[in-house]
Amino acid sequence: MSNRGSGRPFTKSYYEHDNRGAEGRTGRSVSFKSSTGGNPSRGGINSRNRSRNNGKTWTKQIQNYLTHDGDYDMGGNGPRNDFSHPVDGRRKYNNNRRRGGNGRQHSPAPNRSFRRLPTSSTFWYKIIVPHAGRYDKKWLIDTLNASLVPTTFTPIGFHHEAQGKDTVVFYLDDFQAASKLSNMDKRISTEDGFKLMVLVRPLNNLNIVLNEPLKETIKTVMAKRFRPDVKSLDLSRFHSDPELEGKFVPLNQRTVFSCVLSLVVEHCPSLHALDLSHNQIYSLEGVKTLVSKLSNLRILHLANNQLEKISGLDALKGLGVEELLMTSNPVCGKYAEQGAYVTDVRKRLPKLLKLDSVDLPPPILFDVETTQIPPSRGSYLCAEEGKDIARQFLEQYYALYDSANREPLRDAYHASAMLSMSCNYPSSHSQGPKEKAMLHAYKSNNRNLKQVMDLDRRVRLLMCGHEEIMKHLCSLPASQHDPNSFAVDLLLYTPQLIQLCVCGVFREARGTAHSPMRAFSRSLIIVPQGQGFCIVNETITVTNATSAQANAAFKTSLVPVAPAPLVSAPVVPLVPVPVSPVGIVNQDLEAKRQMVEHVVRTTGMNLIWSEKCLLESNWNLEQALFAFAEYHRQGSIPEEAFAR
Amino acid sequence: MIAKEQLKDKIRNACNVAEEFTKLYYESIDRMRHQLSRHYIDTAVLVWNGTGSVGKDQIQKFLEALPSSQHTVTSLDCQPVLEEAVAGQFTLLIQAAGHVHFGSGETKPFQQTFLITAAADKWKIVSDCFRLQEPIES
Repeated sequence: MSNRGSGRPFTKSYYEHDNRGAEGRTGRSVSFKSSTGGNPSRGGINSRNRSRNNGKTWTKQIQNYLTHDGDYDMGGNGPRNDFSHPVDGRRKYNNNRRRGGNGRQHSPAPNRSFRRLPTSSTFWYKIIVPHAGRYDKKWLIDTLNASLVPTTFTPIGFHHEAQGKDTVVFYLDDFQAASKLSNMDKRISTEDGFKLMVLVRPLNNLNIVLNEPLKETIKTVMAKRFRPDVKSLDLSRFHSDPELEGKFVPLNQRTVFSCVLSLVVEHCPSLHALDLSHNQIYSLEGVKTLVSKLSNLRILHLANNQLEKISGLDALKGLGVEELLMTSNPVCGKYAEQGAYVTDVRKRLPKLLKLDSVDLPPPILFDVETTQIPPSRGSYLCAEEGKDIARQFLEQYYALYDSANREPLRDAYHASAMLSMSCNYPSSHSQGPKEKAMLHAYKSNNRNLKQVMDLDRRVRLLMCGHEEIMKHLCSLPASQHDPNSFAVDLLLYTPQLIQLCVCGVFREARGTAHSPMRAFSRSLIIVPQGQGFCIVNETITVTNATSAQANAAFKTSLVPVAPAPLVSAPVVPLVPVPVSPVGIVNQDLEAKRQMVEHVVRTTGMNLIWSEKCLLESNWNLEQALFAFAEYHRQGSIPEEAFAR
Repeated sequence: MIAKEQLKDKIRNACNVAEEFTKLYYESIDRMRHQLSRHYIDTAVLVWNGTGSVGKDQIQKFLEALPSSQHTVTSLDCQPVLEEAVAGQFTLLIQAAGHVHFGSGETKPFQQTFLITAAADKWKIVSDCFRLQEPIES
């Protein structure tokens, strides 16, 4: 049992019915007690105690109240006369055995003039009408409504419960109506000669469980209430949406609020306006974690909710909201001066231009840095003429690197080439599970100078010459690079020297679905040799891919590293240089097999079609991949090409 | 044997230079950016997340327009570039990685490669390639 609400000050209208707060301040209040007279459990006599020990006694009283309701048996084995008093109603005798032991048995029930309903800390009340399943819903609601004149209510989540579905249950968020209803217990006569029991419970602990069908319904309701043209979402009086009839989905409850907000972030991150009015929201904590994801939100309506304290708006800090509507929240009544209220709200939302429909003087902010970093771009070329060489070099290199046998790469390296590798885990910032995969396989030769302090070890870990380099490269895990993830920056392109930086994403080819996704960056110094080129210096950095990289990697759009020209480029003999100076066209079977494998991996086509594709491209890998991308874009590749 | 010892010395020396160089560079870019251009040769090239700037002055202009930064280097590697490729001029390939945030933006991992060369008695940057570790929009 939560007594969370016991310290809650009430809005003015609540004072009429609930003198809890007033007692706390004045010591006692007897205004509603005259007629409850000698009822020891009703609180009148206890008021002296309560003034001393307000919180505890209140918990007790709520407990008493609920115990009374709690021992009501949901239409099970109770004697009928428990609820079916004669129409003339005056209970002259106490035949209620089931209430034995409870202080209420002495209650002269019909004479109670006003049942004081404790307020609910969730602002929701459950109304239970036992044995009313037989009555027409409309009749029941109309009758109950008629008894409350001039107050009216609309039931939320109206449904039948208990055995034989004989008990009517619905919910209300209107204290006044709930309170009046609680006093109509056994006062309304039905056509068949019974008196309706009306039990009202304040719902202090609400645990709303959302199952999948309900989540789907919520989604539908949200979609219906979203206006894409102005990117606004109207969630006011969410619980009373006709689509949610018979369901109880109060937005002020954490599970519901979180679910709804996650859907907003997921389906409409660019939301401009959000209306949360009339939802009895008393906590905005659920918004807090999503503030950074609602960067376009400018208009927020929170009118007619239950926000008590200005500090409740702390959860909104960081939102760029320019227009806020807060009217009819308890917090508004706490300010004697409008200026203080505006200052307090603006402290949380400094960009505010309009508060409660009143224009505010434009805020004077500090001239803090607002410059943004330039947008990132794809590959950079210092010289256009270096483009084809860079692309072809890398394509051949990675085709071999990603193949089962990396040994042919030997010829891509100069006899005195140097290669070193460093690896590090991404910083602790924004780490998801994907960023935490271990990098053990790269650790043995890790030459990160931030970690390797020993001078001899630094020398030893710099691999020099074919033997050391090939031994190292062949020891690394099998890989599959995503050419679409590559950014290739050509920094220097001179007849003597080419400098390339390549970064991107690869997947470790472990043959399992959960192969770790890595990010790499390679810096290459390449020199011409014979009729081709070879690497003289190479540094490799390996780390884990960020979630964003992992999500973007290996997507179907198959655009080659850099758009290739449609005409066949002159074949530049690259790798392996000294072995096959004639170039790609006459490569031996092994190289062809590797090219087919590469096409299979990259395109997802089967062996036959991959080979066909290469054959038609004259065994030019890059051309084959480009042709695939082109046809794939046009959708002209038959499905059988992907059949295994 | 002598050549091998010389190479070892060169490698050790290169590592020390790389440590000092990156310390100086990242301190400068984070706190004294107006003085950065002095570390570049006149014809240097900077490629910053795909945007290229050529020449010392253009580089200075580009770097000064970036929001304030805070770099943390967690990984560093360095090699002397093979003499044959650079006509005997002592040149180093340096690769750094770590995380950075610009202005009030979020912290992101980055990788950066420098090619620095001994011009007279000062180390100068020939090329500088910076990349944030993020998906590349093609």
